[in-house]
Amino acid sequence: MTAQTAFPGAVSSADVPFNKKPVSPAKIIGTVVGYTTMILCSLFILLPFIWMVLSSLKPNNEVFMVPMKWLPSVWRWGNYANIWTDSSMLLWVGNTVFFAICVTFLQVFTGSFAAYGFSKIRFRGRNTLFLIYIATMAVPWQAYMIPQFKMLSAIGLADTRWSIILLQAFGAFGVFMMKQFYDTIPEELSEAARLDGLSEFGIYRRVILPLSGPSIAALGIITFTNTWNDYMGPLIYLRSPDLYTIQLGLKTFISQNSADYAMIMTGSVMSVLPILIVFLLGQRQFIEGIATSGMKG
Amino acid sequence: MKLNRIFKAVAVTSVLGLALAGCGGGGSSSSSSSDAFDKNAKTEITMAGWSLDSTPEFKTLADAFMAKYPNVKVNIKQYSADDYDKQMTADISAGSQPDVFPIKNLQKYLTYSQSQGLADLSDIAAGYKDDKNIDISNYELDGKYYAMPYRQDSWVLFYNKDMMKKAGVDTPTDKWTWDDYTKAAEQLKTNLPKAGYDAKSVYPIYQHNWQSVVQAFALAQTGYKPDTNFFKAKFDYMKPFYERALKWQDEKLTIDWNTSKTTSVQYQAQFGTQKAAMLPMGTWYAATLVQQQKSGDAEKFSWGIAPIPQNPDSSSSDKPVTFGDPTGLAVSAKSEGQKLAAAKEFVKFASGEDGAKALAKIATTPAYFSDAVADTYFGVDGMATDDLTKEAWQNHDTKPENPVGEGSDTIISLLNDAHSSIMTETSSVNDALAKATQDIKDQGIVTE
Amino acid sequence: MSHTAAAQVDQRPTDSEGQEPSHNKGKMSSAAISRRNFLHGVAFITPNFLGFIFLCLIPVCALFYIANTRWSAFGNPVFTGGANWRRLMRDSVFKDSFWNTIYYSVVHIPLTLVLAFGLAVLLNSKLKGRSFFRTVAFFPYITSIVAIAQVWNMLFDARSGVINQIIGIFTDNVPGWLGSTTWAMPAVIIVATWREAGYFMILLLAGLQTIPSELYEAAQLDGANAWQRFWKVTVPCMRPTLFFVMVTLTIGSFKILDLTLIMTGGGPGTSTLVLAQYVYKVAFERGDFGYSGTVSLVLFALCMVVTLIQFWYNNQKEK
Repeated sequence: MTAQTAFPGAVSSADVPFNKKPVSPAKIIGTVVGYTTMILCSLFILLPFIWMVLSSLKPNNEVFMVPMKWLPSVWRWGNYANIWTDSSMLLWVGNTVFFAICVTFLQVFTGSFAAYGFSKIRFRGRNTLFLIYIATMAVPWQAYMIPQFKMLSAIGLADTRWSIILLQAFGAFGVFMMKQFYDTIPEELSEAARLDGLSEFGIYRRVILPLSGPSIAALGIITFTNTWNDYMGPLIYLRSPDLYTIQLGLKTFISQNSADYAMIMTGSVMSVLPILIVFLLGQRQFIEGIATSGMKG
Repeated sequence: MKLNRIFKAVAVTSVLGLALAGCGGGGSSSSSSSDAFDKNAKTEITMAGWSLDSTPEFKTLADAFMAKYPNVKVNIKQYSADDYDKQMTADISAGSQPDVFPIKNLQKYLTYSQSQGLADLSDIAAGYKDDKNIDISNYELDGKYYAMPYRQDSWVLFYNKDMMKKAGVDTPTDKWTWDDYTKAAEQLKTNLPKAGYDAKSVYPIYQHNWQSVVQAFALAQTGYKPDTNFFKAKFDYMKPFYERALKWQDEKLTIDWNTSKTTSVQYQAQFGTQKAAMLPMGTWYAATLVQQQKSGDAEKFSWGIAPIPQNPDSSSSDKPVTFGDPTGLAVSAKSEGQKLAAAKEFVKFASGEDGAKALAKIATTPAYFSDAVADTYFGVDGMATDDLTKEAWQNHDTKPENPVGEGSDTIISLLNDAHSSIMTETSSVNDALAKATQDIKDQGIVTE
Repeated sequence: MSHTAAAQVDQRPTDSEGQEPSHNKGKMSSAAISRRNFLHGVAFITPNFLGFIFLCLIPVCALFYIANTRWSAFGNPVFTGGANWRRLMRDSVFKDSFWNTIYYSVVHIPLTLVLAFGLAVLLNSKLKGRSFFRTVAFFPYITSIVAIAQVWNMLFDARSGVINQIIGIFTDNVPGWLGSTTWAMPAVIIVATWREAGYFMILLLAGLQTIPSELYEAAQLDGANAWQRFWKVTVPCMRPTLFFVMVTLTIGSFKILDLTLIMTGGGPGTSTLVLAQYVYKVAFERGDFGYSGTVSLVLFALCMVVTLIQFWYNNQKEK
């Protein structure tokens, strides 16, 4: 049994089913209505963000004015210049990018590796082990934060780069997610490869990995975002200003300027931009709608 | 997936956990040989601080100390202002706290003092015990001291002289009770719009949304002993204070609690931009106001400080009764030798007159109130200097913000829930306080 | 040809259990296979598992002990037997937070799932500008929660908030939102759903993309309409992903903390106090890490019960 026999048929014309019908007037109206709805929804979704951007351009006392005011009375573009000069933004961004890349790499790599073991190889104790992974997700971190901190301090990792990287990289989330995605890849594929004499690692690398573009992209985006936005981890583990991450740095900056909410909004806007870039890069992996499955055997 | 396997796994992991919990790395103090301080020895100590740019007190103290003892170097480590106690809890738990560190309130002082992470400072305390200029009694625990105060803020009434003058309302005196305060606020309510202030956004007073703004005054000014009320979960003494707070809110004399809370109204902006004519607040705000009036974040107007209004139903002291926790400095029990000696010397310095003068120079209210310190404080450019302000700043009977004892944290936390129920008017004063009482009893803290 | 494919549709993602040994028969004994598989499996899992044991498993196990002690985070925990559990039974704040968590989850989970799935299917089509809409949908998740909660609080303001100004057009009886014990939780749920729908959309989208288009083709040749294709192709093929989304969504909802912490602080009263926030409060406000461990074990048990049910259900479906 090979993949070809299991899933025959030409691939080339495989388009989304809905797109095949000839264009009718009803369909055009439908499209217009659909787009209008989506644009309105987008506006609603983006509303708080728009407010954030506008606030970052306001004089400070207008930010939380009651009743609420949308447009600034004076446009203060200077906030964006100030945040670079008044804070160590560049250092924080640099640190956070470094952490996020390391964590994402470790999470994706070890996660997908382990996921292959959980998904494609049957061995004794697999389900139990897997369940233990998931069980740890069910415990709130703030409850075991202190024991964990004591352990990492005991081996001298507190206030080092390693603490943040290790803390984030080995959660159960990545393994669980990748395993579930591998479960959607037909068993027949790896079986066929096994019969062709590929080693397990070979199957992982040559068969499974090429198919997991979208899921790795999703995991990558999510891990990156979570590391980027994490505040509590760096708060507990980092003391040296040299190691500060963007969230920790911003929070410190905020408390320095405790009443300067316009500046806080500026910082928040700034902190979103890098992830936006990562997201735009990552989501290109979600290619042309429904994928050409890659079932080439 | 077989269930017995899961049970086995749980059993194995629990055993692992037990093994780990046994080897905790915390605690055990080693308050070893305490050397005498040698000012000629090259020593470096670390100190914790927060928001170093906007809170210059740490650097000021360190600089003043280093000027006096050039061989000692004080390195300030930056902590988070809002989450200081989380970081410090983690640090003390792992035994990695700095040599000297501030303790923000008395409640945390009690918690930390039981960690064995704090060095015994009783020898320093002995030097200040009979000094009339400083009150260290709040830090006494069974005859021992684990921290010394260096700041002693207390709550006073800030008022905008310009607004009250324009509205033709009498400014506060040292005889005011909360009823006088209410009366003045009501007059302001009618007169402020006539004087040209925007009726929609300008309020007579601003009551901030913290629970202490109601509860701590009630506790301080009713004169009850915490042991017979607070620790017995009896909160009837708060009722008149809540009724007044609700009255102010209902008559729209202040921004209502819910708006203040959910939209993060800042008291600095409220008073600083003349949106409120009177503001009960801690003395720390004076420094901020002076600084903001200079930087332009606050408008320029003439202001003053009055003693906080007193309880109209009973007066328990000849001095105005208010509240405020001292801020203390503690020394790590992990420090040894010259580090320990230098750290202790630093704390001694910060609590004494020299440290106090350095703090007063930057408009921070120190714990040591001698006349020389007061002169320095009111010599600050931009500070209000009328007699009532001086009187209010120096002369008061300051109670702790919360009674300190076993279970205080839990009681305060449950009272905070009650505070939000009452102030959002989702529950009556009686019901909310009764619920707090019941909840506290359910926690098993109160012994009848 | 197409019929065989269509016939496969329903059982595609299932394990080919039972067939596997037949391929290898004659090459290796089953014991050898099982040993080989064990070694391979372990080899793949080890890199992650080492980190996992040290950073997650051991501290979590320690928690199981701490939950039965009195511990202020300093020194050694003092074992108290069942005292913490007895206290839990009487604790009405705990009960409030337990039911609030259930309330939150029961509304939030289906709402988010339906929205996220809808979005994912929509944005998986050849829609023009889909990458723009995907970005928009994911946006709430990447923006700093502190800033965003603040904005929502202003939008929800009972008197001057935009939301009530709009509702005020239709009715005079506007909800008090964050200032009211009845409406505070719905407000939190709205914001949580707004924030998370895009996040789960990304996960579901990645799952949708692994469905081979041949299956849709085959189904269409068999005369299945769009609705049938959704239920006969999309849903079964998505089962592993859906399972993952369900489990993480459930656990995530039970563990919700940051949003209530910033938006309402649990108030008014205890009307939006959830379990995870209670854990946090007991630990860091009251310095009572032992009892906070006890509460977190309840949260853990709650998550596990629901997760195990999902596991069991998923296994039933896969067979």
